[in-house]
Amino acid sequence: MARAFSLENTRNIGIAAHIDAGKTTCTERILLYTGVNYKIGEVHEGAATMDWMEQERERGITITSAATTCFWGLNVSTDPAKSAQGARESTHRINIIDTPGHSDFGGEVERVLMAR
Amino acid sequence: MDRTGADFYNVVKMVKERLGAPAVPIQIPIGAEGDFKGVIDLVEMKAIVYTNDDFGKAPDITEIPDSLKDLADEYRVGVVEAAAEQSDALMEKYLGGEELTRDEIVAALRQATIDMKIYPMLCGTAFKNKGIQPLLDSVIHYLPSPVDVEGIEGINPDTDEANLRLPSDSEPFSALAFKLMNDQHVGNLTFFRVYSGTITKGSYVYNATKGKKERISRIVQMHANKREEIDQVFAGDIAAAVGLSETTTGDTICEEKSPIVLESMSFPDPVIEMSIEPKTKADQDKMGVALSRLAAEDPTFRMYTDTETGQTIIRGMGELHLEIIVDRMKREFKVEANQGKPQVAYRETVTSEAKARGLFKKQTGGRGKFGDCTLIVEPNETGGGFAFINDTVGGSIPREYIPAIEKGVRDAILHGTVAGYPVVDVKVHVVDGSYHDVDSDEISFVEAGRMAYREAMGKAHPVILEPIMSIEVVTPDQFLGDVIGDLNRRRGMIQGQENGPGGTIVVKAKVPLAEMFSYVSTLRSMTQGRASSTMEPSHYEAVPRNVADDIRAKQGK
Repeated sequence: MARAFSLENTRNIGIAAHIDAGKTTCTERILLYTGVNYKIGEVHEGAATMDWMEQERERGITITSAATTCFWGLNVSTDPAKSAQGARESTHRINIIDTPGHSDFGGEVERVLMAR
Repeated sequence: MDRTGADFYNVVKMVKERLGAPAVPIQIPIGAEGDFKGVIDLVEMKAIVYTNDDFGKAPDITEIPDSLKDLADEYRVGVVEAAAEQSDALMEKYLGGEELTRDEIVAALRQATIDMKIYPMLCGTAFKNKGIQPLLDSVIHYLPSPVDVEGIEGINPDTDEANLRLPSDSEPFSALAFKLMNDQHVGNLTFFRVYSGTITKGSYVYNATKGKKERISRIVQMHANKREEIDQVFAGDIAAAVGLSETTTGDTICEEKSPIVLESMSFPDPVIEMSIEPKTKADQDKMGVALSRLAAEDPTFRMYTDTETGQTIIRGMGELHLEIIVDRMKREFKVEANQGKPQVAYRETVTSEAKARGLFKKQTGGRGKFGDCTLIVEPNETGGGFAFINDTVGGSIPREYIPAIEKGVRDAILHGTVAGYPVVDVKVHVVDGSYHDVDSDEISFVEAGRMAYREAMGKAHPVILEPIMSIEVVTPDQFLGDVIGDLNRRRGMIQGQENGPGGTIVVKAKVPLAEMFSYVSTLRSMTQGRASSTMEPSHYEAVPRNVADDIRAKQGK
C-alpha cells in the first residue's frame, strides 16, 4: 500500500488553549468545512464529535484528548456544486488532536505535545 | 472574537509581553464582539467576510473596506518586515524600496515559523463560524510537515549511543506510544506517533523501553471514538494499535533489529487524594480491575492502599479529576463506591542533617536476632526523590545486609514521623553498624534500618509539605477588595494584578491547595457570578507551624 498523501503534505497539529477558549468548537468547525461531518456538533448542546465520552457531553468540557484526521487544500474544488459550499481540492492531510483545557487534565495536554 | 471585550490588538501585545513570543499578526479583525464580520488577510491584502447564512462555509473574498485601509497598511508593514528579516536577499530588496512578492512572503514566513523565530497570529470565532478556513490555509502555508523538522533523537538501548531517525518511510520503524485508551469493543488501544519507517498490521514490534516483543494485530485510524481499520501506517502518522498489552504511555516501539528509545515524558505528581470504598463485596473485586485500567490510561492518576487503615486511596490532579474517575468507574465498569472527602496530598521531608542508631536485638537464649546500623539522614534537592548511599567502611556491616537496611528505610519513608505522610527528597547514608555471626539475618537489618531511620528523621527537623497552587482570578473592579481579602484569608500570597479585558482586573496569587476547596462557588457568590478563576499546581512548600499542628491533630498523631 502506498501513502495517499506525501509526507510533505502532512500536518500534525495539536490544539491547546485556556478553558472555554473554543478548542473543541474550532475542531468541530474544521470537521464541518473539511467535509468529515455534514452538520455542526455543538459543544454546549452535548453534540460535539470530539467530546464523545458521556461525561464530556453532559458537562460540555473535554476530558480526554481525541484524535481525528481531515483533508484540505489551497484550491477550491473543481466540482461547482461543492465549491459553492466552500469545499477545497484535498491535497493535504491534517491530523488533529484536540486537548482538554481544564488544568486537572494537564497531563493529557502534555503527552499530546510530546507526540508532536 | 465574538466574546465581550474581545480585543485582538491587546492580545497581540500580551502575547509579546507575557509570553515573550515574537508574534506576527498576519490578519486583523473586521469589527469585534457582536459586530465581528471577518478578517483581513495581510499577506493577500484581501478581506474575508462572512455574511452568508451557511454556517460560514463560503465566505466572500472582497477588497479591504476603506475604514480599515490605513490600519491594514500599518500592520502589513509588520508582516513584510518579518519576512524580509529572514534573509539578506529579501532584506536588500525590501530596503531597496522593492515590493516583496506574495510567494516570497509566504515562503519566508513559513521558514521563520518552522525555525520558531516568529509566531503567526490569526483571529476568528469558531462559535460564530468565522475565520476557520484561513486558519486551515495557514496550517498548510506555515506549519511544518514531518519532513521539515530534523529527525528525532533517541538512544540505542544496546550501545547507549545517541541515534538520529529521519522522518522517512525508508528508515527503520520507530514510534512513541503517547496515550492508552480502553475500548469496549476492541480492548486496549495504544495511540502512537510514527517518527520513522512504516509498519503493517499483523507484524511484530519491539518495545525498546521495556525490552519486550509484541504483535500489533490491527491498526486503526481514530476519528474521536470511531475506528477506521487501516493496513499500514507511515512516518509522520498518528494512529492506534490493537493488541499491545505491555506497552504503556511514553514507551518507544520500533523494529527489533534497530532498537531505539525516544525521549519519554514525565508527569506532575498528584496533589489531591480521596479514599474510596466499594459498596458491596462484588464491587470490591471489580474496583481493583477498574482502577488499574483507569490508571493505565491516565498517568496523572494513581492509587495505593494505605497500609495503616487498609483503605484504597486514589490520587489525582484536582477535585474534578477524581470526580470524573469515580463517575467513569460507575458507568464504564459498573462499580458502586462510597467516596471520602477529597484531601490534600501532603508529604513530609527533613530540613537538616541528623544521625541515629538502630539496634534490633533479641538474644534471649537459642537463636536470636541482631541487626545494628547507624544512619545519617539529610535533605535531598527538591524533586530529587529518595537516595540511599552506603558509606560503611571496613565491613562493619556485611555487604549482603545493606539491601535489607535499604528495604527497612523504604518501608519507613512511606509514613513520615510528623503526621504519617509519604516522605520525599531525603538522602540516607549508612555510616556504621555491627553484626553478630549467628544471630544476624535479613529481617534483623530491615528492622534496624527502619528504627534508625525513624529516629534520625525525628531529629532532622522534619516538616509537612503542602501543594501550592498558582491562581489567576479575573474580576470586575468593584469586587477587587473582596477577592483579595478572601485570598489573604486563605493564606494566599498576592503576586500582582493587572488590567484584563473589558475593565476587569486580573489578580495573580499563590495559595495553598488546602484552602481552596469549593473556591469556585465562594467566588461566584461573592462577585454575583461575574468573576472567574483558573488554578494549577505550582510547587510544594513547608506548611506553617500552626497549620502543621492542625494536620497532626486530624491524623491523630
